[in-house]
Amino acid sequence: MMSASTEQVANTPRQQWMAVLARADASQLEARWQALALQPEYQFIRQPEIGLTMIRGRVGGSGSPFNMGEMTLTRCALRLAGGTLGVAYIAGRDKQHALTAALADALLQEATQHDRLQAELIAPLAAEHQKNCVEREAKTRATQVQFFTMVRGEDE
Amino acid sequence: MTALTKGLHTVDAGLLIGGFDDPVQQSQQLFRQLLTVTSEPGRIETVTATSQQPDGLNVASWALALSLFDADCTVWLSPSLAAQPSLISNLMFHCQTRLVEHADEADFAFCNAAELNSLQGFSFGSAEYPATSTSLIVQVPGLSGEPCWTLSGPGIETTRSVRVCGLSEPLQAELIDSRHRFPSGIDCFFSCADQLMALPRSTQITITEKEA
Repeated sequence: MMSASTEQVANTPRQQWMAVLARADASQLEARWQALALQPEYQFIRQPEIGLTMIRGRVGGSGSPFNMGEMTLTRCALRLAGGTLGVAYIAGRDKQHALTAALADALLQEATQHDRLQAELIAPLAAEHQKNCVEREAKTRATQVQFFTMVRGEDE
Repeated sequence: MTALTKGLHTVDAGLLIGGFDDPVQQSQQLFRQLLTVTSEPGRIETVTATSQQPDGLNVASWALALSLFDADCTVWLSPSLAAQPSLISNLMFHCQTRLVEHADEADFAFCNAAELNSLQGFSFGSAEYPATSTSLIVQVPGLSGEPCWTLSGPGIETTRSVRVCGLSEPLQAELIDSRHRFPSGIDCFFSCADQLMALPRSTQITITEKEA
């Protein structure tokens, strides 16, 4: 499964929460973020902006790289009043999602907010994402078609 | 700066500053101003300021970098600018530029007037591809319309007077002499605080008054 291999790459705690924030459903992230009622002061380093990025793959997973195609991407970077830098890269064209993810990334790096955000934002979003993955996998599995050839007995 | 000579530049997150507040509008406005100054050599334009600049660059130079540079262009920094980690981090983060060690590989070169004694080392382009030359952005201590140089050529109806402070005499002589190499040549931008002026390779320079 695609997400399983990409999750292995996210090995530092920051990579893990950035991955959760990026994959989260935008409306759920927003709802949980609003429920936290945090109003951090920040300054933009890079305003939320939409662009294209080239997705590259490797033949057979380890061969020579090739360009698979382009996808839209929204990115954002900001600095909290305390100096912490928050960064977000998300798939698609949702500027608010990128902004919220960057803010959460910055606050998660601060010791004062880290535990609360981990418990009330990252953990539920990760669980939700996991649940969606399992559901989608189950749905896909139900439509699986097995191809096999009957022995027709011609050789006998 | 050993990192620079090895070409191993890293972005220090602690040194990053904000780019344009309104990237689309501001970069287009600045691009229009760059067209204006380039098509009317010697004309001085005042650029809209960004709230902050990295160490070593003035407002006009930083605005030019933000509007023109991208991942496809190469930039060379003069030694004093290359020693500014804030400048390197911000150029790499905001413009994704590739910094090069040798000036002749660069599409754009930033320098302070005091460090620039010669045009040698920069690329003049070839007769087949004159556009591959290096564009110089020189930070000077002063720019004005006082009659120090008399400019003439494309984009100037008769003549235009201009004063670019801080350029050494050998450099001025070399600039004038380099006009013989047209269509090869180096296009210059001069920046001072938030002022910007261009001196394309097609502009003829006559020194009317030596700088005191």
